[in-house]
Amino acid sequence: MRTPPGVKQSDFAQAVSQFETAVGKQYVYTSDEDVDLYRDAYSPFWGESEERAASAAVAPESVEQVQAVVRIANQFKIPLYTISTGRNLGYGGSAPNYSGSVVLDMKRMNRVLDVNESMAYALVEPGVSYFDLYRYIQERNLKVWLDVPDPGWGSPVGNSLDRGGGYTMPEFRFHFDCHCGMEIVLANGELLRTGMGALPGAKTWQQYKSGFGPWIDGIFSQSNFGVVTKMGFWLMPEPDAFLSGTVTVPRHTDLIPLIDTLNYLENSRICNGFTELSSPAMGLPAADDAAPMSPELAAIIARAVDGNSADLDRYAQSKGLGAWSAKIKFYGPGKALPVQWEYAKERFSKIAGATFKDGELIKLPLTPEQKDKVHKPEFGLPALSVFSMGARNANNPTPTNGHQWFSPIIARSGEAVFEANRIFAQAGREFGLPVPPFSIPFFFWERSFLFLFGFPVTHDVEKNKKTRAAFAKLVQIAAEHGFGEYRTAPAYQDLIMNTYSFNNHALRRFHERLKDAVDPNGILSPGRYGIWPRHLREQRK
Amino acid sequence: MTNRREVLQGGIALTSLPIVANVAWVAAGASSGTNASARALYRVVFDDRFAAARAFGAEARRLGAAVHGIDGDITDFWYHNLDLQWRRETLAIAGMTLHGPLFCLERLAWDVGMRVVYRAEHVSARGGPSTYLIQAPQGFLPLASAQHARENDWARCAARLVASCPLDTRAYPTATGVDAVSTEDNDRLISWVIAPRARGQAA
Repeated sequence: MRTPPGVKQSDFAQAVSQFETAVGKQYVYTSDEDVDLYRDAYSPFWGESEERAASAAVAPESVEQVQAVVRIANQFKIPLYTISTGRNLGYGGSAPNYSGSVVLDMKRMNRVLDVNESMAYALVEPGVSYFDLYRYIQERNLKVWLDVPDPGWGSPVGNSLDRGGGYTMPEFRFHFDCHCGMEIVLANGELLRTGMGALPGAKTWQQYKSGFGPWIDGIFSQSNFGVVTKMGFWLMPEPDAFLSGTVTVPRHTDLIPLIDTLNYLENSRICNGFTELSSPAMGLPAADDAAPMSPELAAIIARAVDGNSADLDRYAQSKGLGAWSAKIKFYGPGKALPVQWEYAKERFSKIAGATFKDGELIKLPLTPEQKDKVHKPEFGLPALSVFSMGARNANNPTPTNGHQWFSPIIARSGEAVFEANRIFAQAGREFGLPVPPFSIPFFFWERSFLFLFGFPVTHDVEKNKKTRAAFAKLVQIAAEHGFGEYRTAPAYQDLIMNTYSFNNHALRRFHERLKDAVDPNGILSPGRYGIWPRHLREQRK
Repeated sequence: MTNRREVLQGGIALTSLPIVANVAWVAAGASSGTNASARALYRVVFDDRFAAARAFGAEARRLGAAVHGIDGDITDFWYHNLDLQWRRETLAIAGMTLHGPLFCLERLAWDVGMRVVYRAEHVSARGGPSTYLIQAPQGFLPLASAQHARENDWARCAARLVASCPLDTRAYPTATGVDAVSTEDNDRLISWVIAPRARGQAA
């Protein structure tokens, strides 16, 4: 049996025995075979001594069992690491920040406690997956949608607490933002409810977010101040119809007015779906079966990134391609959506040379045949199709064992997209980093862009070392230019937390004061998002 | 350089006696009708984008297995079929897919106390036979190695092997028969079996 660092073997044996009494012997895992299931399949330290590894795992079934486990951990000062379904691949999976932690596996707490169609909310436990919640809704024929990440096998609670995103309307895409009310087991075993849930007998826990007094929900996301055991979510009423339309503009610099117009339309809720931006001229994002980019085009793009886009415009014109295309999407009444699209076209028409392609108006709900053809998450459908990709093709000649996301937040403007690409391209040249020729921003968030660079993970130690160094360099360069990442794997959480350093790391120091106050023994997920308990702080990298 | 066939046959030489009966059993399955083992599998999944996987599926069907084709995406199979079955009872499944679908199914299986008990990785060489990295229960490993070394129709051979693999997770899988197979390569077809953990083991 592995033992957490700093814990006597005899103490750990006693703790395990008490865990077994609390949750049942069959739900405490100590064999290597069982504990290895909690390895991060995408760990950038795979097979190295620094790979994060658990010592054991314990899977409670109820709030009372969670309280018991936390109290036992406090008694023996056993570090715990909480996971919901453990599917956070690309951002750490189910492996702990602090090697030797006992994984507190919540997947047996998998009850859907309430779904209200009229008020469009759900209340769930952390082990409920998006598939589970979707099935619950479908079996009852409720007319509400989930906003799901891609893939959708994770948990609404876990994904929200890690501040993941989805693909439907802006008010649902940022998953933590659309939660309403939490129940939390604190490090001392005490039970806390936030928002209206603090009122005994509250009838509006999932309907009014902030309750009374300081609104503390945020401190339980990307953190280690408690164990969330229930969480409410606002759901999207099933829309009547869906419509998409594509606008294409001719010049590289047209990205600036294109995004300005998109911002107006989305912030005004004239369009309310997940916009997809692409560059026909650059062939980005590249389709799986596309031919690899020619050196000639790569050189033209490099000049455009550096600020001279004349060649790229000529290239696009010669090929009859637009510089940019934005596929814009609308959810709402079937009668209203064509009118909204017409209005959007009017606004885009101010960009000289803009052209349009109408998409099909889809009456909802989708038929089974339609479900096979669409990007499922945009219709509230959980999917695993992303795992059917990754096979060898022209643009992916050497498939890998996973990826780690470098995911900086960029301002929502064309100028910012150009600036970020110029900075990352220069860094790529100067330091030999694997930077894509041009990064197309994603529209997950309502008021900002997200860049996503997927750094490959392999089982080759030397390759992984180089990748980690490149990742760290990009984090540093991004921070020097005012770009911060929104989320990362445990391997990089200290590194990135260090970049949020305004006023001598005032934010991190505040986190640490909170940690010391609410979890003085530092038993809950030590190190998560750079928050270390006092006794481990000196080992922060 | 030692080729795949030599590596695998070397493996057989070490443990020849115990496999004789099993070889006969699999061979009987190959030539005659269905076998009970194949019928014990809840489903045999195959990726119908690949000719080899289709041949695998056809052979599994011939042996009496209930088969299910996918286009690389297991979402519908999972949601409409397997999840419902595994909520009622965890029954073994087998398949031939790329890495991605198996990656998903293996992790989903862990949640209900199941494990991959057999895994053979097939990499198409240029026009020639495939190479293999096989993980199988200890007693089954020599048979699987021998059959793959002997048979040119590796896809159908793979189907017969998954249909006859003991569903025993106590015998921890062991690797063998490695011949220039890169484990970095996600483009390889993998034949596999997922089974419930043996009775007496923790879920």
